[in-house]
Amino acid sequence: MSAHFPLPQTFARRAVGFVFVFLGSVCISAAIAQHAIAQINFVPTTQLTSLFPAGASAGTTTDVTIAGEHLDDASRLVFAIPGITSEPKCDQTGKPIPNVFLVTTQGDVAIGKIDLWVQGKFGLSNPRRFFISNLPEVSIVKGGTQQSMAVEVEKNTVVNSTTVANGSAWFKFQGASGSSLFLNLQLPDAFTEPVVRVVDPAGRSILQARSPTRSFPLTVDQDGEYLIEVRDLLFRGGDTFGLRFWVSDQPLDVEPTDSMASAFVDGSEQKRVLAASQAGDDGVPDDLIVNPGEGPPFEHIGRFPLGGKPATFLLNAQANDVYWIDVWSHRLGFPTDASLIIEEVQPSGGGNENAQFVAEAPDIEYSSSARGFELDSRDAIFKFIAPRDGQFRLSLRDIFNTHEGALPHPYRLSIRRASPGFNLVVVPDQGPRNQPNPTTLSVLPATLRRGGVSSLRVFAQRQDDFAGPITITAEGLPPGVQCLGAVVGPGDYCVALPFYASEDAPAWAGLIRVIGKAMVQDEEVIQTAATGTPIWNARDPRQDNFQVRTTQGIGLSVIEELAPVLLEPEIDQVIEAKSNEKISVKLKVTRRHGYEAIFNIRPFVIGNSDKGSVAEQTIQPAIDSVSIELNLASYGLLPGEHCFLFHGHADRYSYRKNFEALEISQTQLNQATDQLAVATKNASQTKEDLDSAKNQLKDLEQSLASTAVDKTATSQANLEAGKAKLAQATQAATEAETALRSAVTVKTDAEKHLATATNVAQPRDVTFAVFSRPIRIRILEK
Amino acid sequence: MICQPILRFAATCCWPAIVALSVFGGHSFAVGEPPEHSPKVIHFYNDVVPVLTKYGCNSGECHGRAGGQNGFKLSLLGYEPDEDYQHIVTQSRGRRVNPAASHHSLLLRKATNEVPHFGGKRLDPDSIDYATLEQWIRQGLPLAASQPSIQRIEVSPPANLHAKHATQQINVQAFYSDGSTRDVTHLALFDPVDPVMADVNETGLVTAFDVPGDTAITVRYQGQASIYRARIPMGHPLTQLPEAKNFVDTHVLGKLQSLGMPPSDRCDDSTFLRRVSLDIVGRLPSLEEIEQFLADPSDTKRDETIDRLLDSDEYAEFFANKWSGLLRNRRENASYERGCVLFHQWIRDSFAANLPYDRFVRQLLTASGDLTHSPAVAWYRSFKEPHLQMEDTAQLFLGTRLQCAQCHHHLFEKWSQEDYLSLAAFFSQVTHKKIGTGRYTADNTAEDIVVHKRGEAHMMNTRTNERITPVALGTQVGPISPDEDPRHVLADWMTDAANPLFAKALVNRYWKHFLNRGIVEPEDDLRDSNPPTNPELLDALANDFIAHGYDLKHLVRTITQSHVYQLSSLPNEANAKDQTNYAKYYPKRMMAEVLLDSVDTLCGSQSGFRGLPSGTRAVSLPDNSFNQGSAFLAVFGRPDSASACECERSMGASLSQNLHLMNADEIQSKLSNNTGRAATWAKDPRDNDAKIREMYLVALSREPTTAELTNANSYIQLVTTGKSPGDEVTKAARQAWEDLLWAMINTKEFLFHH
Repeated sequence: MSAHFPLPQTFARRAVGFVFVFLGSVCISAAIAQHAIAQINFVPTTQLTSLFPAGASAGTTTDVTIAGEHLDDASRLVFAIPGITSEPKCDQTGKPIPNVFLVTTQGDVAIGKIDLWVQGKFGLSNPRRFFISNLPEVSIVKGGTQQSMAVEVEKNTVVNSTTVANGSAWFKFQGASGSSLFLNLQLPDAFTEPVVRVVDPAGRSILQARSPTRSFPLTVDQDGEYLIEVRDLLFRGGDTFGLRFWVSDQPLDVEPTDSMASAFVDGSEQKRVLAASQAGDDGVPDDLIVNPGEGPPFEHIGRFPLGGKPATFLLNAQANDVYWIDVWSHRLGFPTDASLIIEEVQPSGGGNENAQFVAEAPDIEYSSSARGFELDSRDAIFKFIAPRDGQFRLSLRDIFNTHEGALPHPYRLSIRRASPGFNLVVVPDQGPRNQPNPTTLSVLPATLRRGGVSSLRVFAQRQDDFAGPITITAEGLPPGVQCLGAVVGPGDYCVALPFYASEDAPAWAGLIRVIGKAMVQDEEVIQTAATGTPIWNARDPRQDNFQVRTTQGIGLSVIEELAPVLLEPEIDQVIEAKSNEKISVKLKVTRRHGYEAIFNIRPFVIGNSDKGSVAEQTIQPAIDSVSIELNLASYGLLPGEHCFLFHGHADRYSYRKNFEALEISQTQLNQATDQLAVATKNASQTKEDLDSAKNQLKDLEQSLASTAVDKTATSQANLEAGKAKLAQATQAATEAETALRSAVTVKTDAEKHLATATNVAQPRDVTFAVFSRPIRIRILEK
Repeated sequence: MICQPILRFAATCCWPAIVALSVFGGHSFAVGEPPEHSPKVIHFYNDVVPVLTKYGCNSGECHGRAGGQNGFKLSLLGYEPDEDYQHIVTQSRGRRVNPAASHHSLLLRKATNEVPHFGGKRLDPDSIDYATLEQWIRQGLPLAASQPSIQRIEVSPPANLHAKHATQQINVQAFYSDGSTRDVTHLALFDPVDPVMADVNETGLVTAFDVPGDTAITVRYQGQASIYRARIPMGHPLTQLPEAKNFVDTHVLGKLQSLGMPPSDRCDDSTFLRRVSLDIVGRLPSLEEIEQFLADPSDTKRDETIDRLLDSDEYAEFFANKWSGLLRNRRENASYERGCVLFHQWIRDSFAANLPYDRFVRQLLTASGDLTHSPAVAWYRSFKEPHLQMEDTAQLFLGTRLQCAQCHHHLFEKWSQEDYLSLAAFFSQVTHKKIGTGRYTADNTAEDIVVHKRGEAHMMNTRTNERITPVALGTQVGPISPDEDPRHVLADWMTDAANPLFAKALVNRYWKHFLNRGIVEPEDDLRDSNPPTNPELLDALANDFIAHGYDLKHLVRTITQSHVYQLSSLPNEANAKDQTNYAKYYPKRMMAEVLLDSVDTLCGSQSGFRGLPSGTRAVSLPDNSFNQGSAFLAVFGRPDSASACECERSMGASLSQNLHLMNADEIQSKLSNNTGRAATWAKDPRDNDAKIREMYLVALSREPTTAELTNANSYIQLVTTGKSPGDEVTKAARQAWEDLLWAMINTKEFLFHH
């Protein structure tokens, strides 16, 4: 079902009734992330920052190096599509090289961009983009730092590289006069905003351009060496500034957008609209007549006229007809801003007309809690109720591209009868926030510790005034893991979906599916949630370059550590109350690992927390049960079933990271010490033997030299034997010395590893995100 | 010989000038010829207010200030006569005027200082103007329901030739809506445009001094303005003038001929190459360029050099630097970095592509969208108020400073507050959105997405509560529908070939860039009361610019190919005092960025700028933020992009600049750079003559004279004599070269375009 965003006329633009409002500034909350948010030290979760190269050719095996945080014991890569496998790369001794994988792609694997995750000791990471191409690929970490040091690249070969900090990377290729070439770019999940320049053999710049364009035509009018300068817009560089480029005789195909605003759009829709709009100009005559009637929805695909001029449609409607007018462009990935104006047209005689303004469709905006997830859209959607029989003109403009030189971008206009429904998108939970306004973003995936609860965040997009409850569940769960379920209640648009891992759940990592079910016009509708994630942790989205995109899946993992805290309602039943009542929720508190610190929790997501105040509740150390009062009036809950949980940060949790590694290191050191002792002893013994053999030989030689000794063959043989013995002893001593040096090295290394492991495993106070099991409330009619 | 220039000059000032011919040598008008003193009804607007203006009562220093003076307020220069009437007649229970005993009116008694008056004696009781006020009071303070309104004033003669120290009385006639006219000379306000050249007294007697050239006297009366143009010829015999290469020469040399002012000689090749490189690409010519150019015997080499420089990337970078400052590309905080870089790149790319100027301005004014796709929207984040956007637009692209008119009628121009608001109304529907970029600024608003907001464009006059719709400086543009972005309408009007200001403002700005003085000065203050020194040249440049499709490179080519641009800066005995007629090239100090790069070029060093690759030139810096990290740029006046005025860039000299060049650690480290020229030359086996020659070529684009060669050699000898061969002498030689380079940096010849 395609996504539609109804705007009930009775609500203001930013009101609760608006689809896809993310309730409460708790929706995006203080990050649990450890990487970019320095102030809070959280329990470790596997985080993937970058990988290099960020792509591979189909039918090949490539070394891929990953980088990130808490990649301990990274053992496999998880891919969103079949046909790609990985294994850790090993050194000559057979020992796995940390963070390096051999990625093998089958010859028939789908070409394009995919997501991959890494599984390590601390669970499944956030995803990263990986490209599969049908061209040969090379990895050049850094190009030449000057023109004279430009690195040669072949045409039709993808170059995986990075930009250079405070400089440019130079490459070169051989061009042939008259050839029609393209310089194509692909960006992995990176901060890079590439600027490219191509210089011809005469030293003239024949191209200077930048992203977001991805494919640049090149005019090659002379034979010779062409230079490519690649840099970041702000001259940044490093591991997180990757890019891929190649010179080709083919332009890059249009890649489907992965913006969150297009989360509910089929991947082919953008291409369809783009192709259908290729007719050149808008192709719609002025005032195209539209009679939607009872037939299929009216659809027109075109291009916005240039200069802010309108494409106009005349809608013949009858009094009280209800139509949903939906303009798609920005949601399809085009850089536009669709302005939709509705006027009532009345003839005024003599071929003239009066046009009376009726409405202007607003943008699709969400509450401030949605900031960071880029779900806002500049498209227009409007619920039009015809006030009377008549003709109504729809004027459609792109007000983003009115300036000279702007391009005409595609749009799709749809006019239909109400078609209630819903769509879902699931994202990593942003965890508890510690400030009223969202200031942080986290990429952290849902990582369960045994006996604990973690959650994902589900946003519901209600279409055409659908207001009913939506039940959320998950599929594809491993043994020992339970989805505790959630309900997106009437009037709600966001819910936390909690998961619980039993205390004996085995370690696991993989992709799951989140499913929503609802009764829509007496029929059960089931939707699989789309998925998305921030790309980077952001301490402050107001300053940092944060990006959010759709993904090809959502991950979940279980790790073999016990959760220090479990919160659950003492009585697992639905609480019935009126919307203005106060209720008391009793929570059972289970503490483990001797965790005794105070921590605070708050309810999430409940109603429209933009309106309500979200008070924190303190959990004292010695208690195992707490009663929390909630004033439901402050949450504006509509009648029906709602679902929420409590979450918070638990600080001062004394945590030892990877103490197993410490034990292993200790064992290894012990072994190394023993081996060193043996080697020392052996070396000492062999030295003694050597000295003895030397002395014996000396004696024999002296003896032979003495005229008193009978120089018989036996004496000579004894001498030879002595020499042979000496040779053996020498060899043995040498080997023992070598073994001793090796044992010293092994022990020294083992000591270093132990020191590192000891440091890592030092008990430290970390913060742990606590989620409760869900609480269900049924709001009764007044 | 002199008659021909007179006729030509007179003819070009339209037919009133012909009339003026008849009065060459000094027709004089009787000073203080009053309006006919008859028992006619005295009009408040037309009779009383001018008296108050003439005697300074409603000036900004006195009762015309914002808060008035001593409880009595008048509108500035009488621009709001209705308010003035109320203040005089009804305020303070009408104690200021006494119709029954008019001479006892406080208004008169204060003006004559009969009652202590902070402003002193302003009126003589025996004067005609006193009589006017008294008569008005005696008549019962009439305020006629309809009074003829003033339409214009005319000055006669409108122009004249002045011998040095000669005088000329000018007469001012006012023309009214009822067809009547009046001699208002004695009540008009007179101001000299250039008091060095000519002055005027309060009765309109103009006195010329001994600086030859054209100047003007501004005449104002009741919100109208006009000018009197005075030409002070030098009278030097001109036997020969260079052949005009293009119309620039025709107009400038023609005027010089009419002034009798011989131009200086043509500059030599070295001077030309250095000058044109600094002016077009903002750097010194390289050694290879110099040697090649000086050795080239071709007659066309200068034109070819100009073309080569215009075709380079450096041209785009240099002019992007200029416009980036004017367009306020200012990094307010760290989150602005990306936008500043994108905006700078857009400007640079526009110049690299030689985007026609009208399209450049149109794209800027009508920019919509986000920074990623439409970097020009960055211009709208400097300020979000329509009136500020309008002020910059007017100043930058129309050469019109409207700031004063925000609160009151423009003091020296015809623009009223209504003109101000009606021009600002074009920007009233610009709005900023928060959607879909994923980027937010430090104040928690979305990074600049700029779009047109549907609605009727208008501004509110808060004083009158009136709704002011868009009008383009007196030109009606018709109704603008709520769906239409008024900025497009404004851009249409501005870039129309008939617009009297758009092309002139740009060509004047560029003229000043190359010739160091605008044809109108300041370059962004085009108004009737600030006339061009060569109106024919200005018109010709503007028309040619329009005719060639607003091609900026063509304009640069036209100016720099002209003989006038290539005149020497050395004056001859006749034109030493010339400051306005381009009889010689006017030297100017290198601008801060160019100077820093030039110092680096000479020293063989590099300046580092945080976050940018090493080797980045100062003229390539994308925004103002680098000023803070560079004492050099700050001391030499690189602008902070806080204004649309080029005057924000300081081009003057100061003691701190001298001290910086002489003593700053930064300069010392450039000189003593281990890979710099001094260190390299110290080890260079070539003889000193070759190296000294190279120094002069790099720094000044010319060969050293024999004396300079001798001096430099002597100094090196002095420093190195007695040193042991090997490291010691090398070290001494390095010191000597550092000293020579230091001395070179501190010469005017190095610091200036000349």
